[in-house]
Amino acid sequence: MSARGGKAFRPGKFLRPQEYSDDDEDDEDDDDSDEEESNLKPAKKASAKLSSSEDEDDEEEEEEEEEEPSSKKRKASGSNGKQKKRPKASSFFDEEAEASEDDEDEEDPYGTHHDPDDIVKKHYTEEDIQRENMDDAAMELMRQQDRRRAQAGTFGETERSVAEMAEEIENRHRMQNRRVPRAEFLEQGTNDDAGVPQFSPAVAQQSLVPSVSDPSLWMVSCATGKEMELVFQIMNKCAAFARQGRPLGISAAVAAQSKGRIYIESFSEPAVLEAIQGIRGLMQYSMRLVPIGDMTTVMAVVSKKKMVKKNDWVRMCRGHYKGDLALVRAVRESGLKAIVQCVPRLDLSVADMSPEEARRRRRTHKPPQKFFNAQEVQALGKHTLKRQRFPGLDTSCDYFEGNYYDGGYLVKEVTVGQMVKPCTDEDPPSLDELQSFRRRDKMKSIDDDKDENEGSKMAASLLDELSDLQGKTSLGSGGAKGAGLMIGDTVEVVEGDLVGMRGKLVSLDEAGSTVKVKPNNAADLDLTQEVEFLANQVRKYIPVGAHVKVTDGRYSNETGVVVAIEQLDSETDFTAVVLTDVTNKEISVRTSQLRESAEVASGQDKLQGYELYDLVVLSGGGSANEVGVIVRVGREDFTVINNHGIPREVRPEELRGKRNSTSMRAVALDVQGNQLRVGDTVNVAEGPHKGKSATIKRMSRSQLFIYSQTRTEHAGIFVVRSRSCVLAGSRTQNRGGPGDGGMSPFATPQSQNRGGPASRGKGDDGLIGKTVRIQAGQWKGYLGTVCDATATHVQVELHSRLKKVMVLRERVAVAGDKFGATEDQNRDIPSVANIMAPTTPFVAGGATPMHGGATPLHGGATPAHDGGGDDVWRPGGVVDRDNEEENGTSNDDGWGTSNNDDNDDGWGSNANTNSGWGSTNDKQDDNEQSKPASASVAIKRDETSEMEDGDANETPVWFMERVCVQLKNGDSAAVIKEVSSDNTAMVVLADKSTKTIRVGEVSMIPPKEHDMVLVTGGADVGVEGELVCIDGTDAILKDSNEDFKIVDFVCLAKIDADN
Amino acid sequence: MYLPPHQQQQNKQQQDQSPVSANMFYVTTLEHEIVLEPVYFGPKLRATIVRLLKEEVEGLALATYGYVVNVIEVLEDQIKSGIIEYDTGNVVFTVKYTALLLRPFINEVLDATVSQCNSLGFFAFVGPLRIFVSKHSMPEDMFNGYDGEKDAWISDDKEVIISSGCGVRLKIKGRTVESGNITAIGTIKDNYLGLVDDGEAAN
Repeated sequence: MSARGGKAFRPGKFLRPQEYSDDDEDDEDDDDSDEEESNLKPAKKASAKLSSSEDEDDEEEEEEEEEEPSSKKRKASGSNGKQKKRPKASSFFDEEAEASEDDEDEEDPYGTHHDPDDIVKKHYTEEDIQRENMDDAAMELMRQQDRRRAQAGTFGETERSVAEMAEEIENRHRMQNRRVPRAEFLEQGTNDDAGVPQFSPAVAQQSLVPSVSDPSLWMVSCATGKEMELVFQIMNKCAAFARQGRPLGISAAVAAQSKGRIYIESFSEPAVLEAIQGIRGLMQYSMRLVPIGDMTTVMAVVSKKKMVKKNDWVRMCRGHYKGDLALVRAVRESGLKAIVQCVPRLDLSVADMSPEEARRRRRTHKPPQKFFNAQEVQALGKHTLKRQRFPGLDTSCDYFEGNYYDGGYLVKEVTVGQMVKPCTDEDPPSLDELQSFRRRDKMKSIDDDKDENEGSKMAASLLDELSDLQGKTSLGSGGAKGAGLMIGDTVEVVEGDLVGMRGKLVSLDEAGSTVKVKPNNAADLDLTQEVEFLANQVRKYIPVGAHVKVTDGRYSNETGVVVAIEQLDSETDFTAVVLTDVTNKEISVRTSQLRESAEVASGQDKLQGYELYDLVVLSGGGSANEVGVIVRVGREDFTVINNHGIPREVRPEELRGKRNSTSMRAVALDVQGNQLRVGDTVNVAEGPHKGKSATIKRMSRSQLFIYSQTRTEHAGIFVVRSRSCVLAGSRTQNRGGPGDGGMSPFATPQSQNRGGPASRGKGDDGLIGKTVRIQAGQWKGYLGTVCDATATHVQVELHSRLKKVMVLRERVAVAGDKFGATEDQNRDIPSVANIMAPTTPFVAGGATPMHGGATPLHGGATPAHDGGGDDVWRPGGVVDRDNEEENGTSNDDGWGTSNNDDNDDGWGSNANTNSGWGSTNDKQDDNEQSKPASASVAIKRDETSEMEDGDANETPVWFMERVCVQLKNGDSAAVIKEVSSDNTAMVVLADKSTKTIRVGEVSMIPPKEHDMVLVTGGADVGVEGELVCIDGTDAILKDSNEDFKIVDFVCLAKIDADN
Repeated sequence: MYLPPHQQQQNKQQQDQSPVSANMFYVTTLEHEIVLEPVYFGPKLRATIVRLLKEEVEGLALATYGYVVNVIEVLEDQIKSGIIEYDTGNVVFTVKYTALLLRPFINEVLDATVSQCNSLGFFAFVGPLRIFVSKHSMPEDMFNGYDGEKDAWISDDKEVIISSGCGVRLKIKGRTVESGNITAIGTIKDNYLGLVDDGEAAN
């Protein structure tokens, strides 16, 4: 609201008061809308201005105005706009314009402007055309010049006198320089003077900035709301003083938008003082000069304050919350106040401090954003907490220390503009902020939207929008370069004749507007190798089932498999539903953001050094050494599944380090006593996860964190006690084989060979190599390593004595693995019991996969097997033993034989070789103790005697007396009674008749269980006993001392029990 | 010609379908290297090689061939003399064998046994091959049909119930080859696909 006092106080130039009031009304209108002020009545303003400067100008101006339309018309058509802007233009001008138009027609020699066709037909000579062209060019030039002049504000100079022109130019320059003559007191708002057209908005704007030569501006405070009234008073005073002949020395008084202030413009401070003197409501002492630089801001038009609406996002401006995002829940007092909710920044530790400390802490420490948790606060026990309705809202909130909390959010009534400001377009809520604003009740399922706070939902929906937007913008930016297309992509043509065609992108031009595609089925299409398309004619083609990587957007860097492609309505792009690799979640991504890739990434899986699937130590929560495995990595927190299988949300600060390496070293035992390590596959035998098969990801003591690819919850991790599992699969079982150094190649086949009966002895394998404690009998309490096992007995190599003892299976308890005893000793009896009772579900569950591993190993050659009949080292072994036992007493047949050819003198027994043969034969008749020798002799002898009897049949090991044989010719059973030296033997048939047979005529009867057998080879050669059971190639026999021996089945010969 | 979007999609799918000459099982001759430690040398060397070969290869998924279901024959006479690795002392034998292979082909229809259901779909097995069928690949009337209590996918009219143990006929839409393992993505959203055996006969 300004009152222009300028004209009022120059008595000489001041016009009639009436006009003044007219002017004033206009001005009021102007103030109401700035646009009007600037361009609605420029002409009028101009005239006013000029008239106020000089009397002659009035006439000149009129003259100018008279001419202007006509000249305009003549020079360039389309001055209508100009005319409209001149409401003062009377009919006289119109006539004048028309008349001049007529003139123009007559003047124009060729009439090209108005009826070119006509004229051209009339004067159609070459010369004319040339002239016409020339004139056209000339006219064009002239027109351009005129246009320029018109823009510069000079009109129709031709019809004016030189003096007028000079005047005009001078005037113009004066305006341009904005040198306001002090004497003239032109008002500050010279920019209103549209009578002088402006060059260009930017330059003009710049030229309008007040300088030192302009009047100064004073600010005077007043009561809020009285500004306009006071300005009117000043104006009246101004007018009254002017009429009295003592004009006030001010040029303007303005009430700008600012409340409680008016501005007065003047060249002198005393003038201002005089002007405000005696005006009630103005605080005179508060008068202050506005610095020149700030003058524009005083007058700057501030756009109307944005009102906040419900569900608007706002930012807090005070205290700890400064800059925080908040959501408007309700608006009060017609927009002056609002109820907002935001994430609280509570500092509970303040309560414990002394007031001074607390004050200091409040000043220095900004508490982190954290949702209000009533239980947590109550647990501290120092605070009173009650439920209370928020005044004016019908929600019941937690009331704590003067603040209301609803669903974790702080709810507060604030003053709009002072405590909160609306989020502007330049500073919208960021993705991060929204994500932290969004709260999901972790304990409840995600689907349970009812209890989710509305604000949280808002954030969620906005998040989705944003991610969509992000997708779009990236698509948009990519659109210029071909919608994220890359060379090598498979694309599909979506437009044009070849719609539906698929091909490989072979090249993209620089601008990205065209692409070359090599069709997949070029032969069918009868096309050349490459077809060129516009980039928007093709789209990236991602088939269902493809393995993809997200290249952009919110899910950037996730990988997964496309399970579906959907086209949303009103969308050109396709959306792919991707099942992520690691987290097994479904995400929707635009196909333009996808790239086919074999890479398997885990997406966002790192936070402060912790990764997905890390075994971490949790702090707090009661037990000191609670551990867990990270199953989700969020932006600020983790979900950890602890050793009881309970998921928890924890922040990085609550974790106390990783235990991955411990987990890698850890060994646990399954229900059968098998070792379990990280990476093993197990079947869960009991508990809630019964029947599942999965891989051990981490382990902590006896708790296994098992990963199953088919589970979606908790990233596939679940927790099972090791005793509830059974090791699965053969691969995993002998996984340690080559890696275990020299021990395993010996141990494994051996143990396999020594197993009990094939039908039920699978558990035995597990026991061999284990450290056991003998629990009963003579060796009670001793620790040892199992080196052999049968269904009923185990052979234990004692740790403390250099001795192997046979113990009943039931009497040993597993105390550890082959690496030593483990601390857990109470599991042995069940393990043994289970082995002994293979029908229990545990073993049944584990038996099948293990079976596959065991069987092939069964046939394995066992070099380490000391009694093996088929191994290459056996002769040496036997010889050694023979040598030891018999070297002194009798001839060493083995050595004798081997040294037979080369009559080497190095062996003392060499000379006795021949007699050795003889004596051996003699012994064989009557001395059972010499049977081992005779056995080996039999072989050797056979080798040497081949030539003499030309019989290809070698004498078998079992060819000795008391052995039950079967006659090949008659299929009847017999017992060898006596073996003679010439490879014949006397046998007693079933009917007690005797018969002499040759070696080749009989075959051995394979011993059966409970038969009496004779050991013909191996370490226990010569031992007789009852065959207890047969396990594959092994046999267990009970000797006369009731001791059990394990021998190779092939070394057994059935003997007649009666003799 | 205007077609509703889903029909267009179907049309495209049909274009995809190359004539299905592929068979899920086939026999081929393959080669494998067996590394033996010296302890295994002896008269039964060949048997050992064969045994180890079966152990190592059966059940394995070879990237380009598929799962080795069974080693049919090992050409023992073609086992060449091995080569000693100087670093380890082990001997490498190259063994040729014929094997029965299982390989999933895209767009192949096969019957599978459902092993597990979850909220995103279900897993089904064809022998060693695991196939995931997403809810997006189920008929529309099953899209929201997951019943967490029964652990089953149930159609809106309650007639089709897919739960663990059921037999389904599905079409392979894609496969992923990892080291030693192949998984596939399937669909039951097409004619003649879906539940073929409610699994009760087996029980």
